[in-house]
Amino acid sequence: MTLSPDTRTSLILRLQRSDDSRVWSEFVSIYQAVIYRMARQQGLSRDDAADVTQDVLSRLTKAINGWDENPELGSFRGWLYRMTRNMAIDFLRKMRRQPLTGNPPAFQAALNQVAECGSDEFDLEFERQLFRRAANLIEGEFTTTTWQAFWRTTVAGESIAAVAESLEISRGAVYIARSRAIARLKLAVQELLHQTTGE
Amino acid sequence: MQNNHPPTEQLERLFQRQSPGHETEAVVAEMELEKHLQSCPTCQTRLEQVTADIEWWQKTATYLNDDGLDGEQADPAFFTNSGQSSDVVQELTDRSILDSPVHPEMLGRIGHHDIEQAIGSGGMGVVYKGYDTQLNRVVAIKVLSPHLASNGTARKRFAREARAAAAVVHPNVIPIHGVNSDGKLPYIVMQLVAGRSLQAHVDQDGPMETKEIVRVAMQIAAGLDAAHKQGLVHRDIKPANILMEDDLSRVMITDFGLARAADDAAMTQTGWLAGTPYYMSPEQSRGKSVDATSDLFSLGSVMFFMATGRVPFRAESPMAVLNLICNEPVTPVRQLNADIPRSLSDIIEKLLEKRPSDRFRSAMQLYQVLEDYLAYLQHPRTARPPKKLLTRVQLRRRSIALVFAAGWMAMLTTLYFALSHFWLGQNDFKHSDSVNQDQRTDLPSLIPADSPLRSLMPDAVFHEQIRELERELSQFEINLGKEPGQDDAHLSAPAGGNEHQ
Repeated sequence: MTLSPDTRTSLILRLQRSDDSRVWSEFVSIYQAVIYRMARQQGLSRDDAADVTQDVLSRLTKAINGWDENPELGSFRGWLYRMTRNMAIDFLRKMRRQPLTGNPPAFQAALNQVAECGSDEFDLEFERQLFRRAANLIEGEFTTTTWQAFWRTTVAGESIAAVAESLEISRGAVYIARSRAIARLKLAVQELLHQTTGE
Repeated sequence: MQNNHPPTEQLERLFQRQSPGHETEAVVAEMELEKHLQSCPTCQTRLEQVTADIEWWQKTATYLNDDGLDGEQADPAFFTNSGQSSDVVQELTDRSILDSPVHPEMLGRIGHHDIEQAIGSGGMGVVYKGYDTQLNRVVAIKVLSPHLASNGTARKRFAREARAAAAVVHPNVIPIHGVNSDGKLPYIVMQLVAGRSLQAHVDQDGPMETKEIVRVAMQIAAGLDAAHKQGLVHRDIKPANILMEDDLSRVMITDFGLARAADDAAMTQTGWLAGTPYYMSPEQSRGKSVDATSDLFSLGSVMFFMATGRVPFRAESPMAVLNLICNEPVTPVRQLNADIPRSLSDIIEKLLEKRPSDRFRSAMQLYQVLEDYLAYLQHPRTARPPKKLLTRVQLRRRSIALVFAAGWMAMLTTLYFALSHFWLGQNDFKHSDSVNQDQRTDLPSLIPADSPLRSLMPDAVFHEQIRELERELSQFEINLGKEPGQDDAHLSAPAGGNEHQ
């Protein structure tokens, strides 16, 4: 069989030989979204936010060189999480001090007021991404009716009675459905948290 | 039982499984709980509480709600818009590939090139955008992956193929500025094309229009022809290897011949299929030796992709894709996109023939067909419409019909001459001396105007039919190409017979 290996695939396979690298793709998809969203919330344009994201991630990969198996530094994934967090916060703080063009002065002043809150923002966005990623991962495990019953009553804020009627199931079944989805979501979030931060 | 609240363990059991399962007992128990929950507010709240803290419910509601930014993230093309790679896995390898940078804003250094960023990964390695500090120009640098570089054969082949590719100078082939195979990792320095790949183009803008498809395919065919004439087969023609300049005016093929070096490495590994062989030719996927016509098959798949936005052979696993490529006929493009004209659909189908000899003979032949077709698309009133292309099956049917037609014509001709001879023989030959040489060759004119044969076979019609048959026969022979002699023998007999009459 003569084949050209897809570099990406082979790299991932190669990385999979070490345990820590298994978290890479999860890690990337979550952090990419976190950094991007933080940047967007600072009023950056789509393109600028994408640039910032790319920049932070590439700086991060450079920093990975600095990691070695030192028990004091903890697990690789924990270290990675802290690195990303510090870099993202640091980067966004710098950005606020040197605003990109286009921000009106009043808006900039408002931004400066919250300049030191970067860490909370990161934690919030990070948690948000864990939930969203987890929801994506588990949705397929449920029937459409179960997932709809959960989503519409819990996320979209529709009433139990209305959703029960529209899905043609009993109200009792709606209660059970959303309870199942939340319980599974909780497990998935905890699992992802462990995978990305080692906690 | 109905009025008693169920114990906590029973509520917990509810959400510990995703469904009651198939056991009758469990199903009945759940039905009873469901009925109870329907009308018991206390247990509704209890269930919520044992499932998760109120905080979890609140976070779920807040986090999963779209706040207007989600659409941006959901767009998979978003992070590749700027031409940058979103894959940190790839960037992780930068560390093992690049020397430390001179400028802090640079990613690293290779030779006398400052590396700015990774711009993608090809069949064999990572591609970087860099700056040639000696010649002061921006370049693309393709570095052989470390896992391939450790393979001596792959390494040598990488350099050899790159040098062969560098010899192909053509507007539709990416120019190679240099090859370096001495360092830690071999690399190729190429022109940096400002634009995106055909893959990105179709992914982002959807299937292309007929004229655009023909224009792009023509340029690929031209580039392939230049390489094939140097004995170089690409072996990995796919949309990701076709780069388009920003204004779409020029199309360039990249990664010439490099696939082969990767093969060497792949074979030494455990034989797993890496990547997805969507654009591979049947002979290639069987591991047979490939020639230029293999590239034509791949180009057919690429044209299929341009026309429909999907690959011609789709399946769950790489092995299943290979099976389709080798054994299953392709769905005609027109069935998937009704806007594609028959002629283009036929060209694509001919390129996707399983047998190499059933495809176009060369990239040049394809180029010419496309060129004529484009002329027709641009000037439908003045240019000639494209000739109908025949697929192998159509050719077979046509050949049978032609054999019959030729046989019929031979019989008719014999009958015609026999009758005319018979008729003339009945006459007094007193006029025959006055018949001049020209008239003699034009046999039908020998037949007097009042002859019943005139009405039986008007000469204009007869000549037209002969000419038509001759045209068909010669066209058929062209189409037949290398088809082995059996059919030819059938054909040449009656055709030759005609001449001798």
